[in-house]
Amino acid sequence: MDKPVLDLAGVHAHYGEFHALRGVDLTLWRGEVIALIGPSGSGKSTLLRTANLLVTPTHGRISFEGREIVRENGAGRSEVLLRDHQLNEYRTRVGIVFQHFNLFPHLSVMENLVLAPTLVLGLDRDTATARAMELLKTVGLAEKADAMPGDLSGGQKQRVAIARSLAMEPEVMLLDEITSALDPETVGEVIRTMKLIAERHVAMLVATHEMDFAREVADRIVFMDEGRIVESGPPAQMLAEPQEPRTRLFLDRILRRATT
Amino acid sequence: MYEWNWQTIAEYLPFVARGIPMTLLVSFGAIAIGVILGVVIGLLRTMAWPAVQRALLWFVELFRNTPVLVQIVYFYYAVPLLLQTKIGPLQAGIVAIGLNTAAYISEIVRGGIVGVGRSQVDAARSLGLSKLDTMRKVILPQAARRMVAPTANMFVVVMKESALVSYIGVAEILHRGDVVQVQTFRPLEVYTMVAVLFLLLITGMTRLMAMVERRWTPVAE
Ligand SMILES: Nc1ncnc2c1ncn2[C@@H]1O[C@H](COP(=O)(O)OP(=O)(O)O)[C@@H](O)[C@H]1O
Ligand SMILES: [Mg+2]
Repeated sequence: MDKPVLDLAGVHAHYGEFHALRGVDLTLWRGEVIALIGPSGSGKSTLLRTANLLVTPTHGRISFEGREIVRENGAGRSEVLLRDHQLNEYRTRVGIVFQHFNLFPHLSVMENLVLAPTLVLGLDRDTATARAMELLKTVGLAEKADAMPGDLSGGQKQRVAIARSLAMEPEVMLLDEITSALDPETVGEVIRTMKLIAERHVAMLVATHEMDFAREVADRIVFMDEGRIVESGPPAQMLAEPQEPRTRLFLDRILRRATT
Repeated sequence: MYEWNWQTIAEYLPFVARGIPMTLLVSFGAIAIGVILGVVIGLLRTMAWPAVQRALLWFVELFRNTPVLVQIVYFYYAVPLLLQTKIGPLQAGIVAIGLNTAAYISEIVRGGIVGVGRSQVDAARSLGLSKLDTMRKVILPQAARRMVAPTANMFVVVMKESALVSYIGVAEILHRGDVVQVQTFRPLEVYTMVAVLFLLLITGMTRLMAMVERRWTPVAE
């Protein structure tokens, strides 16, 4: 955890008139796992999508591995410094997994994993297939290689989505509430998979409501509300003695709900 | 009391039935134009420059919001004056119905693409796929399946509309029926013949399209 891999400074994002991110400063260090928590609508998804540049920030700067990729021009507005193909390349290094999986339903599990490595990374089919098979073994779904996404359970779909993202060998993984659309009985298998990624020392920014995951796996918990980071710190400290009233209120509610 | 006369049927059925190839020619000619142009316009309406998109929207609205018969007449009588050429009734009919069909199919294509949804675009782009690869490998294969059923339905509609070219004298089934009716004054027999021939053709088309639809159903995630 010596170097920052992703660095956001003063980042704002808008949806039309709506001001969704209101000045976010966040540094993700190499191999670090950050649990991003906060009420629904606080801007967690927007922050992840901005980090991946699916959403273009309106103000602020973003650096990746020490290189500035979004800068502020003289008027204080953000400018993406990557050309189209560089942007595509950047996205291969910052993977994102979505709440609703977003698997490609017309392709088999194997094809889902092989598509981008062959098209974008230029791997030949055999190499891509062999690597995909390894990843499917890692997430425990080798026997589903030829299945169609529609035939999988929610937990299985989400593990395929994780494997699909890992197939690009990203330095950063952004996970957007990837267990919240799942049946309770399949949440565990996905959390185990998330722990496996953490052990590979891939830096992770994980929007989640799973406080057990945050406590056990995260190096840091970041609490967001209304488009801002309110407070952050090591899990033990954040969960035991949050400083900000809003954090305390949120944690009280979510921890109580988890135990009742 | 009007008496049903089988003699008329026996005598004129061959003459009316010889309109079948013409009905098929008009229908499939219009379908060919409609599909090719409709796909191109539909794709452009989701990807081209805004100005192009607006122009195409005008085209679509123009053809969807005027009667097909007016379009046919316009292409036969009015367009030749504008272009300073002669257009035969067959060509005018095929082009008019073809452009009308293209307008509808372009909407089917656009709807199919839009219907695949933002989340599939996000997934593809977040893996580093270019816009073009996203379209080719992720969006279009899914959109195509959504387009099959409404397009198949459109083919049946076109076959029905083909009868309208009788108005400008194309010798398809209905027009040949009109000719016989004027000579025999037996509208019941003549137009029953016409209706039954269309019924057979269109039922055949519907069956064929149902088979196509069963083969190409949308996939769910
Ligand atoms: N595409 C969008 N268009 C307009 N508003 C949006 C869009 N996506 C999110 N928002 C709004 O931005 C705010 C933050 O949303 P989001 O980042 O999804 O929060 P979270 O993931 O924490 O629930 C919410 O108020 C939401 O309604
Ligand atoms: Mg969210």
